[in-house]
Amino acid sequence: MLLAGESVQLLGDRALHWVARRRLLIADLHLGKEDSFRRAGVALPSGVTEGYLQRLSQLIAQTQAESLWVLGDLLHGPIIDGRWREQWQHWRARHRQLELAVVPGNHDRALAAAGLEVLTLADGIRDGSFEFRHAPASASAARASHLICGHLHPVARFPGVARRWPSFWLRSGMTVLPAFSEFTGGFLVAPVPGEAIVACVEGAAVRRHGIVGRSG
Amino acid sequence: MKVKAAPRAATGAGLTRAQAHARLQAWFTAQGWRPLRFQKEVWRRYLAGESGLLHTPTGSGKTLAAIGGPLLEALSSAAVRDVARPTVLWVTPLRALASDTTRALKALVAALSLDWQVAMRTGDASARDKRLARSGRAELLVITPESLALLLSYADTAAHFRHLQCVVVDEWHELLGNKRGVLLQLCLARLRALAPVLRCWGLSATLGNLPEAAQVLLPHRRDAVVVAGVPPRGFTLTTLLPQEQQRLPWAGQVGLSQLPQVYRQVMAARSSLIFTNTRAQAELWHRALAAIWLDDPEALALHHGSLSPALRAAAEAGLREGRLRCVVATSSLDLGVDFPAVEQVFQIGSPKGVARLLQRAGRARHRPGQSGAVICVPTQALDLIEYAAARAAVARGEIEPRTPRRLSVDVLAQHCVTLALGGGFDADRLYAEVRGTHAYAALDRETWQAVLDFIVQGGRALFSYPDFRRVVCDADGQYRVSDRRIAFRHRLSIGTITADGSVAVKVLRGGTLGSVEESFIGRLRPGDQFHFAGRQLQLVRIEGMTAYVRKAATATAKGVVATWPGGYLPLSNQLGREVVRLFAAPQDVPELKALAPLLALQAQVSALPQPQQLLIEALATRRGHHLFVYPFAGRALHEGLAALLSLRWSRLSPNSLSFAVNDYGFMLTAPLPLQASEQRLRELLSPEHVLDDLRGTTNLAELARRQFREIARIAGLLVPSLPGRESHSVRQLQASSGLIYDVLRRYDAGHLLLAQAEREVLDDQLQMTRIRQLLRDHAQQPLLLRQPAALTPLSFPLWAENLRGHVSSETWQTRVHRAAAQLEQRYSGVRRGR
Repeated sequence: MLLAGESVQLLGDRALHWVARRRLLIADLHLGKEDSFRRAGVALPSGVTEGYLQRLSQLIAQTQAESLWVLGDLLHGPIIDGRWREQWQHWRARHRQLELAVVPGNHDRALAAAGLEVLTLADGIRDGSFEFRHAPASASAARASHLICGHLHPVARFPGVARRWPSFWLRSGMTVLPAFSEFTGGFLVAPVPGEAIVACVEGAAVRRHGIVGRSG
Repeated sequence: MKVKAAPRAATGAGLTRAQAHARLQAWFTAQGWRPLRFQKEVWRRYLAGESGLLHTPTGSGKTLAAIGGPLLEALSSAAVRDVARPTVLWVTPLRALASDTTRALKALVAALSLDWQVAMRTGDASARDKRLARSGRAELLVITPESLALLLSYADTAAHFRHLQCVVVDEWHELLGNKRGVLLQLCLARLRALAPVLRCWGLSATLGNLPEAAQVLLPHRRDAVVVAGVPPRGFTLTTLLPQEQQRLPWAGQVGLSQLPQVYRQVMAARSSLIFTNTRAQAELWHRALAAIWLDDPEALALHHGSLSPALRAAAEAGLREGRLRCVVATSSLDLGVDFPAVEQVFQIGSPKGVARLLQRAGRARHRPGQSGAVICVPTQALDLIEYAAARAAVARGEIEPRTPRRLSVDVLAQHCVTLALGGGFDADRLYAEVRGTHAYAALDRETWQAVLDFIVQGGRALFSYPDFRRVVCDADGQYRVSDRRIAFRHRLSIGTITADGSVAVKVLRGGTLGSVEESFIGRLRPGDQFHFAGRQLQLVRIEGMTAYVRKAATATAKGVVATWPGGYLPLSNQLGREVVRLFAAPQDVPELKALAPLLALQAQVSALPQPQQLLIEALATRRGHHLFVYPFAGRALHEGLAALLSLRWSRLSPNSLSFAVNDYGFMLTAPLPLQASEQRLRELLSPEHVLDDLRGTTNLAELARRQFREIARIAGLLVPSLPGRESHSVRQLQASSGLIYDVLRRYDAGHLLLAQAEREVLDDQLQMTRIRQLLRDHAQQPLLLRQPAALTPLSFPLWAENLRGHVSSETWQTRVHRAAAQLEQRYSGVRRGR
C-alpha cells in the first residue's frame, strides 16, 4: 500500500516494512518485561524474549530488510542484566549486518547503560516523507510529513469475535504501530470514518475501515 | 479512643458454673426471652468440649446459641491474666454482617459484666480495631476469612492464637461451596495446629447436604454433631398474576409490564424489598419505579454488588431505620442482615433455586417465629410454573446442596505464601496439616511438590524461571518470605474475591458511585449518557481505570442502562425436576390455572415434558433448521451439552452449528437440514467420550482463558493495583490475566494453574459430571421426538435468546476476516446510502 506516497507493507507480525529503504519499523518491544515480573515474585516463564527475537529474524529473512528501527520502548524497565540480555546479544551477533536504531521511548531510560549496540535517534527524526516519534505528537501541530509512532499499543475488536487484536491505526497524517511485544495490554481503538485499522491476527494482517456508528 | 500498651487485668469472672448460668439466664429474662432448647443443647455440648454444626433459620437465635458456651466458660473461669488474649473468633462471610454482629456481641458482653474486649477485623474495621486484632488484645474478634488469613501472615499475631478456645463460623452455607470456604478450611487447619483444644461451631441455613457441610467444617471429627434449631418457618408464596386481558409474553426477562401492579402493592405497605436476578434488571426496575414514584424520592433506593460500599451502606441503614419505602436489590441483599422494618418481599422473574427463594422470603418481617413470605412477579409465562414448583419443593423440604470444592491449587499456593510470611513453615508438617482438610484430603505428593515449586522457583522447571524470587527455603528447612515488597504485595492480594476488569465510576469533584465493566464503558464516548446507580449520568472522560461522570442535565433523555456480562444463575437441579413434575401432572394452584391455556397448546402442537423422558423438538424457521432439547438441568449444564452436541453433529455431517441455551434446554441451529432421526439422536447423546469431545470444542480454550483471571489473581500472578496511587514500579508489573494465560500456554504448557483452569471450566461451568450422568440416564430412557409445524411455547424463549456459542473448526484468522468483510459490506452500504 501507499502511505504518504511511499510504498510500505503492514505485516501481520506487527511490523511496518518501508520497501524503498529496506527498513523494518517496529515499536514497543518491552524487552525484559517478564524478567521484572519474576524478580517481583510473579512467576512467568522465560521464552517470551526468545519468541520476539525469532519473529524478528523471520521478518528480516522474509523482507530482506537491511535496517531495523524501533520506535521506542525497546526496554521495559531498569533491569538490564536479565536473561533477555544474553538472548539479545546472541541474536545481535547473528544479525551483525543489520543497521539497528532506536527512537528512545518513555521506558528506555536505561538504554544507554544497557550497552545494546544500537544507534540512538532523536525523537522526531525525519526521513523521506515520514517523521518518526515514540509517542503521537499533539494533533494541532501542523506537519508536513506523515508521522509514524508507537507508544499507544492500539488494539481493535471485530464484531462477533471475542478477542482483541493488536493493530496498526491509520489516521490522517499519522500511523500508530501495534506493540511488537505480545505481552502487553492495549488501547482499544474504534476507527472513525476516514481512518482504518489493520489488525494482526496470528500473523495475518486484516484491514478494516472506520465506520459510521460504533458497532466495533 | 487509644489503646494503652500497658497490660490490663483481663480476667474470667470467677463465678461458679451455676452462678454463670444464672447470670446468662437473668439476661434472657431481662429481654423477656427464655433460652430455647437448641441453644441450651449447643451450650452444653460446647462446655463438654464438643464441636458441631447448628442449622437454623436466620433470626432464630443462632448467635446466642453459639456464643453462650464461650461466655459461660469465661464467666466461670477464675483465671487472672495480665493481658488480653484472643479467646473466641467469630468468622463471618459478610462485612455488612460483621458490624451488626460486633454491635450485638459487645452489648451482650457488657450486659454480662464480662471484662472482654470485642473487636471487629474486616476490611472496613477502624484503625483501633485493626490494632487490637493485630496485637491479639481482643478476647472476641469478629473477622472475615480473608482478614483471618491476613492475620496469619504476621508471625507475632499468629502466635497469639495459641490461646484460642472457640471459632464460630457464621453463615457457613455461604462459604461451603466457594474458594473463600476453601481458604477458611486452610486457616482453620492452621488454628487447630496452633491451639489443639480449639472447638469449632458452624452456623448454617438449611441445606440439602448438612452432614457433608459438617464434615467439611470439622474434618478431624468424624463424630461432629449436627444440631437442628427451630423448625423452618412457614413460607407463603403468592404470585402477582396478570390482569384478565393481559397475557404474559412467552419470552423476556424484564417484566416491566407488571410495574403498575407492583407499584400499587409497594404503596400499600410501609417498606418493601424488590429482588431481581441481575444488576441490569435492578437498574431497570429502579429507573421505572422512579419514573412513576409519587412519594419522597429519597424513600426509593437501589442496592447491588457493583455499587460503591458507601451507597450500599446508605441503603442498608435506610432499611434498618425504616426510612426507605422500597429498595430494588440483587443477591447483594440476600444474606442475613436483619431488616425488621421490611414488610414485603418481591421476586422479579425466575426464583432459580429453592434455598435462594427461601432466603429472600426470609428478609420480610425478619423476627423469630414469623413466617417468610414472597410475592412473585413473572416476567414471562413460564415463570409461573417455576413459582408453583418452588412452592411444592419447599413443602417437600427439597433444598439444594452446596458442593464443596476440592484441590484448588491457587488457594493452596496463596495459603503457603501466607504461612511463609507468618513465620515460615516446614514442608512435611504443612503437607500433613493441609491433607487434614476436606478440600485437600486427596492432595498427592506430586501436586504438593508442584505447588511448592511454583512459589519457590516459579514453576517445575527451574531454568524456565531465572531470577524468580518469592518464597525461599532457608538453611533450616523452613520456607520463608524475606523480600519486603513481595510481603507487602501478598498481603494486599490476600483473599479470593475477584474484582478486576472493572472501571470505577466517579462523579467529577464527587464520590465514587461504584464500578461497571470495562467492556460496557468502552462502548461509550465522552458526552454519551448512561444509567447507573439509579442515576442518569453523562460520561466526561475515562482516565486509567476510572470513568469520570457528571449528572445528566436532562433526565428525559434515556441513556443505555449499565450491563454486566454473565451473572445468570442457573436454575437448580431441584427446581428443574419439580418443574418437569408439574408439567406432567399440573396441580390445582393459581399459577398453573393461569398457565393452563399455554400448557394445552404445548401438549397439542408438540408434547408436555415428562419425568424420565427427554423431549426434543425439531423444526425450521426463517433462521434455519433447529433442534430443541429440554433436559431442564439449568443453563450452565445446557451450555456444555449444547457445545458437545454441536461438535458431534458437525463431525457426523459438515454443517455450521450455533447454539442458544436457557434453563429448560438448548437450541441447535444450522443452515443445512438436521436429520433428526431417533437413531442419530442416540448417537449424539452417547455418554461415551464426553471429556475428549468437550476438549475438542473451541469454547473450552476460551472459557479456560476467562476462568484463568480468578485463578491468576488468587495464586499471585496478578499484581494488585492500588486505586489512585499507583507507583511506577507497580505499573510496570501489570499484565492482564489473558496475556499471562497465553504466555504460560506457550512457554510452560504443563503449568498446574492451567490445568486447574480447565478443570474448573469442565467441573463448575460445564458440569461434566452431571452431563455424563444425565446422558447415561437418558440412554436408558425413551426419547420424545416431536416435529411441530411452528415454534412452541417451550421453544420460543430459546429461539428469542441471544446466541451463546458457535462451534467451528475455523481459525481466528478466518473468523476475523469474515467479521471484517461483513463490516466492510455494511460500511459500503452506508456510503451508498449517503
